[in-house]
Amino acid sequence: MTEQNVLLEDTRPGAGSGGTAAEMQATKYLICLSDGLRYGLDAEQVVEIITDHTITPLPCVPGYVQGVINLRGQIIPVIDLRLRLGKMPQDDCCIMVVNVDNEPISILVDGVEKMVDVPKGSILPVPTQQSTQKLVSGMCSLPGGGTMLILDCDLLLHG
Amino acid sequence: MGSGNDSILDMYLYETNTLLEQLDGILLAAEQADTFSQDSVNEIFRIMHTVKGSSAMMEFNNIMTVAHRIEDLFFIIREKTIDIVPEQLRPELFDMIFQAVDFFRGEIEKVENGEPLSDSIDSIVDKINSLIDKIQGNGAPAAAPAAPAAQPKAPAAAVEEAPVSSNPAAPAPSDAAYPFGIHVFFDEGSGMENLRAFMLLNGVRDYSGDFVSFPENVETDASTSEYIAEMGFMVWFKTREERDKAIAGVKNAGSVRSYEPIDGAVEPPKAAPAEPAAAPEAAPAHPEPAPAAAPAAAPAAAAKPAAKGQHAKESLISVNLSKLDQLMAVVSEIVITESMVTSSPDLKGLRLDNFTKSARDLRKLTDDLQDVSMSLRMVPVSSTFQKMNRIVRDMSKKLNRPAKLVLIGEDTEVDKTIVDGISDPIMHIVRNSMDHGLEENQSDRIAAGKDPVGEIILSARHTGSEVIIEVKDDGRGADTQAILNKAIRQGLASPDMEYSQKEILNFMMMPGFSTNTEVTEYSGRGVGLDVVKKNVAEVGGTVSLSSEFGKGMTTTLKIPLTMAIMDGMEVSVGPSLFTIPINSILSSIKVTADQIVYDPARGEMMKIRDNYYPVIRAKDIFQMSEGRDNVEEGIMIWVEAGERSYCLFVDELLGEQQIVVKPLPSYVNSFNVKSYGITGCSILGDGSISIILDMMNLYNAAHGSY
Repeated sequence: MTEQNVLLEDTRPGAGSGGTAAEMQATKYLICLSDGLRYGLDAEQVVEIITDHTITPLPCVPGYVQGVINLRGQIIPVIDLRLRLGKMPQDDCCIMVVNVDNEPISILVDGVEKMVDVPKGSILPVPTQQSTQKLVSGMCSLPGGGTMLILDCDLLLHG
Repeated sequence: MGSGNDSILDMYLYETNTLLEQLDGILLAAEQADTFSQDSVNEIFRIMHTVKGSSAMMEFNNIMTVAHRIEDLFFIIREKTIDIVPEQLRPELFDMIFQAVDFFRGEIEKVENGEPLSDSIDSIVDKINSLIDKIQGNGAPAAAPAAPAAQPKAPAAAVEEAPVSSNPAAPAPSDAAYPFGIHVFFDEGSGMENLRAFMLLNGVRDYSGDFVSFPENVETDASTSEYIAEMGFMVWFKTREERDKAIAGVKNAGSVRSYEPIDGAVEPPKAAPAEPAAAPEAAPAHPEPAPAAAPAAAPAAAAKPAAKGQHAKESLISVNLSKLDQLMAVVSEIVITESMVTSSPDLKGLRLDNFTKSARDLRKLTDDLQDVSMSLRMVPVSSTFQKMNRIVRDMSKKLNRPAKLVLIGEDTEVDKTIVDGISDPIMHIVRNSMDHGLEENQSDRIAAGKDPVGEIILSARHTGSEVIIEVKDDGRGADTQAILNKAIRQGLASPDMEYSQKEILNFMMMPGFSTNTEVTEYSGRGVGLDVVKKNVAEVGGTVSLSSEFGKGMTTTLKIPLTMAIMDGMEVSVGPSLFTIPINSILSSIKVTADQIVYDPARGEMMKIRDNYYPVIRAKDIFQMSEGRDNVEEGIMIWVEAGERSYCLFVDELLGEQQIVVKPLPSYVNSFNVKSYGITGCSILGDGSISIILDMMNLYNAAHGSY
């Protein structure tokens, strides 16, 4: 919590140059890692983070749909973010359960880092949009250095 | 407030729809007999009365007005028996009422969809009015029908022994059968006395269903309000006990200033006091010239079904289907969790006598719980079947083809969602039978040695885990040659192939077989039969056709009892688990490599009992990396789906299990896995997920046909 507050203070001056009220509105993002890149997921959508769950593979679906998991009686599909983005899969991973349109979906990522507050105004468009990056709706630089790409779950599902 | 209103509206819709359905049934039965029995007249009167009252309460004025006019009409018929309607007017009467029912349906639908109600009710009201005029012109110039049974005189001598009343102002009982009264006065100046009286009657109905009131028609006739304010409101009962019970209802009603029980007359001098209404009821049987006998009998008879209906209502409650779904889901979880607990690996090797005993008890209870919660969702198919009556009637009129519908096994019960799912397909098939099945001209039927009146038999029956619904007509049947020619023209069949009769009939269920009305010029059917097939498949059922040219056609729907739980065979392919519905498995066979034969395209086949069946390897069709390739290591499962029969090759048979069907997440469904035969999944006792296969779609996916 303290770390977040520090972050918040750190980010504000950067965004403050615009100085409008809209930019003061911050959204919480959960940063996760996939193939060396940081992706931010709207924290509102995240239900839980689970590790070590048996994935039941499903036939006849694209490769990036790894299968389904049984989360307390609920059947939830698993999407491997690496495969979805055309990268090589890796064994060490964890599952983030997110709610998209009231339906739970789980996303396989390399790891989860931390939560950040990002003021709306500091989110910038991605200049190099190509087909594989259609899942990213924006990007922003993180206060502690580095860049976060904002993962759009709707695009992930329907894009 | 909003939610309260909604629930009243829900109740209104539910009640009105039920009544309309009931009305439809009565009308069809009456039309068959070409007359209304006194009972059905009373019933229709009562239904219209209720519809009118509740519509007035909901302020659906147009419905109320029409219902009111029909009520008036039936009031006349009730008074003077159906004989007042001359033979030639009867078809008009029936048509008019059917039209009115359609009108009600249409309006109710509008209410359901939140659309504004139509204002143009003049034409229908005019029709009713003109009919009333015609009937009245015909009948004896008797008392004005709308007037509340103006001071009907009781026929029996019993009443002549003047009512012994403590209140001289109290009116005499209007009916000898109802000698025990309550005289109610409302608060002075409370206004709308007639509506208060109506509310009071509703309250009283909770305690006793059998009573008459004076004045009648309080909820519609505002002019009674004055009379009630001045003279009080009378409710008469058959017995003292009922009256005494009803006093509680009067007490609960609002704005009652005072009430007073009145013993109107001594018990009717009868040997059997339990049936005091018996004598007046018998009256219409010997038509008496005295018109006074009829009104006395009518309320008695009318009150009886009302009392019965009241009883049925009390033992039934309507529940939102989503709650039942929820219950079913929870129960399913309990069943699974129970087996997870009792077969927990932690217990392996332990000797737990008491635990085992308790676990057995628990198993029995959960089984019971499952059965009960499943039975909650079961409803008889009768309501769906009854609707067909109407379709047959309307089409038979329109096409001028006399036909009758015979219903068998209406009380067969199936899951509610399935009933909803099969209603449209059945309607489609019945329409097809009427339109294309039955001969156009009666003379054709007579020439063929058939009954000039066509017959469609709609039957339902249980067979273990399935319900079989059959629509059978005795019409022309299907001309297989014409169908084959058409199928060839449509490119569905190849002209060089030989087809069995069954295969030819199946062409009719292919999409694109029937593209236009041209079909009718052959003996053709198939108007949207592919849609029927699709709809039935959605609830897990199959459609098959059989026909004999010239004799008729039978369409058979095989439907699972419920979609929520099924018996499945667990099989494994590599690490994956699959469930095959038990009812599609014919047998499982260990095979040797030389039993497999090949077609030119290296397609595998297997010979079972003098027939060759294609072999589908689960591993190949699902493109799995693991799993056995050698046929001698795995096992063949001979399955049947619809008209298809084939062998599915899997690694291992794990055993039979009752499973709870869970739908796949919609995200997964968006990849159209259903067309590969993956219909759902289920969670096994150890928490692992098994994929439920649909044998029909699996075959289609493998063979690319259809």
